Amino acid sequence: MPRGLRVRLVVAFLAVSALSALITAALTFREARSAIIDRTQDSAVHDLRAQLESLAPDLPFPPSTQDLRNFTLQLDRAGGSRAWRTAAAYRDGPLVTAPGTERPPAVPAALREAVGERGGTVTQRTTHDGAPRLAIGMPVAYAAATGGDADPGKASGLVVYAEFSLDDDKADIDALVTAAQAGAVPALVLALVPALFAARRVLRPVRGLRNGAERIASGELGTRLPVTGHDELSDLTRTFNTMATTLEKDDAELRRMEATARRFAADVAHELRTPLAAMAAVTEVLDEDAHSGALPVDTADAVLLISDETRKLVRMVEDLMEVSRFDAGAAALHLDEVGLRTLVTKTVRLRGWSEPHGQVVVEVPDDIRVRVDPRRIDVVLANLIGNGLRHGAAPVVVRARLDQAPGRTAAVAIVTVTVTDHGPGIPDDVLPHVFDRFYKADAARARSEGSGLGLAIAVENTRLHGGSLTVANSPGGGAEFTLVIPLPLPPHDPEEGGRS
Amino acid sequence: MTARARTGRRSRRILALALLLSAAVTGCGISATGPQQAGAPASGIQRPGTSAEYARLYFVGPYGLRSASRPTDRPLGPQQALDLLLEGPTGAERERGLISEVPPMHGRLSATAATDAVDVYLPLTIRDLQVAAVSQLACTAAHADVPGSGPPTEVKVRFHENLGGSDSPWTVRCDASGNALPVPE
Repeated sequence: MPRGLRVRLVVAFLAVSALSALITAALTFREARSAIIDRTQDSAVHDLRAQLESLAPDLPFPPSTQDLRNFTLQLDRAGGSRAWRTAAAYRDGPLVTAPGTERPPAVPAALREAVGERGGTVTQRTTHDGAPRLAIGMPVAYAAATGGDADPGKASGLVVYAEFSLDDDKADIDALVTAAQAGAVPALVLALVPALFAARRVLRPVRGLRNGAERIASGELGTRLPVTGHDELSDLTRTFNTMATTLEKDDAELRRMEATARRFAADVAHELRTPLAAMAAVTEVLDEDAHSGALPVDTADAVLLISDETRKLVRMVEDLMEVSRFDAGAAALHLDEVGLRTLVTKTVRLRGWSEPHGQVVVEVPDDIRVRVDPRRIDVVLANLIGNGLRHGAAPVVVRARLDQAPGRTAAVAIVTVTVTDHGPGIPDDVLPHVFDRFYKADAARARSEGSGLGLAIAVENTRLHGGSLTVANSPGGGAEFTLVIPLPLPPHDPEEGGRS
Repeated sequence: MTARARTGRRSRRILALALLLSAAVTGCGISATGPQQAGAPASGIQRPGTSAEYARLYFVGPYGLRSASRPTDRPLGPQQALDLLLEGPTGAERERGLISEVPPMHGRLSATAATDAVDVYLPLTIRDLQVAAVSQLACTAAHADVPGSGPPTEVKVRFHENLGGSDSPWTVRCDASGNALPVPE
C-alpha cells in the first residue's frame, strides 16, 4: 500500500476513473450485446416466417414425407448468408430434412416441447462445441379461407425448425470486448495526466507549508507564506502565518527580557565594583590592625569577619563581570602554545594544593602541547579541581589523553582532560543543573565558598576554545568532569563565542 | 490500527467490485438460453377442401421454372395474374433464388380470356424473349382463372406479337412440368 500523499491521490483518481469507465463499458456492452443478438434473432424469425408464408400455399396437404423433403430443400436454399439448416415435422412425426443433408439441424428437445405447448414461434440459444447457435421452431397455421368455414390461424400440425450458427455475432461481440480493452489502457494513461495535475495542485500548498515549517524550525521566524484561494489549505496557511507571527513576537519579547536582565546584572556588577574596591582597601588596613592586636578582641573579630565577607563579595562581583563579558561577546582569547602538563601543575601549585602530597594527582603525559589561552584554561582547571576538593573528597585525579575524533572534513585531534574526585558523586537530580548560574546543590547550605558562577564561567571558557565540558558520575562513585578541546583550534569567532 | 483495518477492508471491497465488473465484461459471450416466445406462428397452409384463392405465378429458379402461390381475395383472370408476374418476385421468393426473365413492358401487355384459351398481346416479338420468359408468361396465363372445364395444361395460350400487328399468333400450352410447348395447328 503506497503511503505517499501524491501516490495515494493519483491511485485514488485512477481507481475512480477506472471504475467509472468499467461501469460505463459494462452497461454499454450489455446493451450492445443484446441489441446484436436480438437483431439477428428477429431478422431470422422474420425471414423464416416470410419463407413459410410464401412456400406454404404450394405444399400439398396433408404432406407426404417427400413433400416435406422438397419443402425443407426450398427453405435451406432460402437461408442466404445465414446458411440455416431446416427440418419439418408433421403432427408428431419424425423430423424430415432435405435430401443430401450431411448433418441434420440440432433441434433441442426443449424447443420441440415448447412449440408443442405454446403453439407460437419459439427460439432457443444453444451452445454446440463451444460455439453459440440459434434454433427457431415455427408452427405453420392454416391460411384464412374465403369460404369462412375454416377458422384462420388454426394450427395445421406442421412445425418447421431452423437452426444456424451465431459465430458472426460472437465475433462482433468479441470485437466489442477487444475494443473496450484496447480503449481502457490509453484511457487510464490519459487519466494519469489530470490525476498528476490534481495531485500537484493539492500538494503544492502542502509542500509550501512544509518548507515554511522547516524555515521556522531553523530559526527564520520572519517566514510568511502567501495565502491564495479560500479552501481548507489556504485556511491552514493562514493559521500557519498567525502561528509564525506569535512565535516571532514571543521570541523577540524573550530576547528583550533576557538582554535587559543581563544588562542589569552587568550594570549592578559594574556599579558595585568601585565602592567595593574602596571597601577592600579599607578592610586590608583594618585587617593589619586586627592582627597586630591594636584593637579590642571583639572588635578585631568583627573586623576580620567583615574583611572576609568583603573579599567574597569582591570575588563574586569579579565573576559576575566575567559572565557579563561572555554574554556581551567581549571575551577575547589570547592564544599561546603551552605544555598541558606544565599548565596543570602550575595551576595546582599556585592554588597551594600540592600540599599535602597526594591530594591532587596529575597523570598528564609530558608530550601533549596545546594552543590555548593559558589564563582561561587555568581558571577552568582550578574551578574543577577546587570543586573536587571542596565538595568531593581527595584524591582528585587529573588525567589527559590525545584522541582522533571524526571531524566534518577530516579527523580532528582532540585533547580530553578528566578531573575525577573520590567523593560521593553528584545526585542524579542535580546533575543536569551543575552548570547553571547560581545553582545551589544543597538548598540548606545557601552560603558557600564560591560565587555560584564558577562552573558557568568554566563552561563559557571551554566554549570559547571550541570545546565542551560535561559531567558524569564515575563508576568509582566520584564526580567526573570531562573537558574536551580540539587541536588545532578552529578560527576564533567572537560572535559565536559570545553567545550562550 | 482500526483505521488501517478499515482501509484494508474498503480496498478489498473495491477490489472485489472491480473483479466482479471485469468478469461481467470479459466473461460474457453469447450464453445459452431456454426456449423463448418469439411471436405468432406462420400461416398459409391450404386446408384441403377449402376454397382459398391463390394466384400461381411462374418464376425461374436455380433448377428450372417454379411456381409461387400468392394468396388473393378472389380468382384472378389472366390479365391480373400477368400484371402480378410483371411486378417480379417478392423478397421471400428472391431469397429462394427465384427471378423473372420477363422484360418490363410498362403496362402494354394485355390478355383476354376465352373458353379454354387465353389471348396475350405482346408489345414485342417472341424472338425478343428468352425461352424461360415465354414459359413464365404461358404457364402463369394458363393457371389463371380461365373459363372452360379443361385443366390448366389444356389451356391454349395464343401470343399475338407487336400487339396483334403480326399475321398469326404463336399458340403454346403449359405442360405439367412448367414448359411451354407449341401447339400444332
